[in-house]
Amino acid sequence: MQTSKPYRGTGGVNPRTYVSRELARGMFASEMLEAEERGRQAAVIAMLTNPESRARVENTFGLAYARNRYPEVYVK
Amino acid sequence: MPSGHFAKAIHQLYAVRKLNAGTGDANLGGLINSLPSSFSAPGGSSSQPGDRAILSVADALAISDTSVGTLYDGLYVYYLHDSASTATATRGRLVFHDLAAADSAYQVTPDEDANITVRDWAGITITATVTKGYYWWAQVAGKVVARFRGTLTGTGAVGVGTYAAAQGAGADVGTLDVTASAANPTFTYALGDNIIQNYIGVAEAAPVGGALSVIRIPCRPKKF
Repeated sequence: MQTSKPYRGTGGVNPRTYVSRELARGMFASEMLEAEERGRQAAVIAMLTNPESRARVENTFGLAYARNRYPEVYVK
Repeated sequence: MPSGHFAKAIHQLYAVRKLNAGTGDANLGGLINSLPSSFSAPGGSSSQPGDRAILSVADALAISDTSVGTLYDGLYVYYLHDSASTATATRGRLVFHDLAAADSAYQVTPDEDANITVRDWAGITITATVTKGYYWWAQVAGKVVARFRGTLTGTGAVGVGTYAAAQGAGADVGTLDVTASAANPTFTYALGDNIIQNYIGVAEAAPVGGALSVIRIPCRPKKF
């Protein structure tokens, strides 16, 4: 059942569209998740392969934050 | 077309490159010459035109080439750059969707279109330059360094809106501008249309003519 007010209605609204417009303003939520993880993995690879990159993040945001966001970098 | 693998990495970083280093990929998805010993070849995971990456503040710092500049948080898209453009994409300048290419090519050009002018802008160049015909990432939304036209129309200040300068060609092609303020401007449809269509983002530092300055672009990708 469609509504003429997709932002206010409670039925017939595609929740995926609703979420994307409210949170991402133009991207689907699933696309946001995919793109965000791609960015995070890029940082992981940069930190694993470049000590200067890893030090830059740790010095700027702290070791605790770096371990939390990029746990793959610290796996022994 | 975007390949859409969940959790696919940005390929170039397997070769210890930075996102704002180099002049782009001569080959689609990049040519990997060597790999760190701890990695296997990332077969099938190379970037495709239209792929997107969202970088957090820390992500962007991690993959910056600080000899070029610092990258900031935002949305980045992998594009093919037109091989026959007149201008060359350089850091801070806008690139535009190339209407002469198929949508599926995700091709951009640093040239301002004769008809649609600057209104179909695709992103801002993050490397010192991107070689014509090469593939590389451009920033579409978030905090980014942008280049302003040689002589600003208005006064550059923190918080002002920034707009595509629409200078057509030459030294100021693909640059941004700030508007002259008027106490009681006469509203016309054309004025409103220009404001909406040419708006890029808000200045986070005072723009200076002919220089790079930090702005923040709202998330509103025009192509998927």
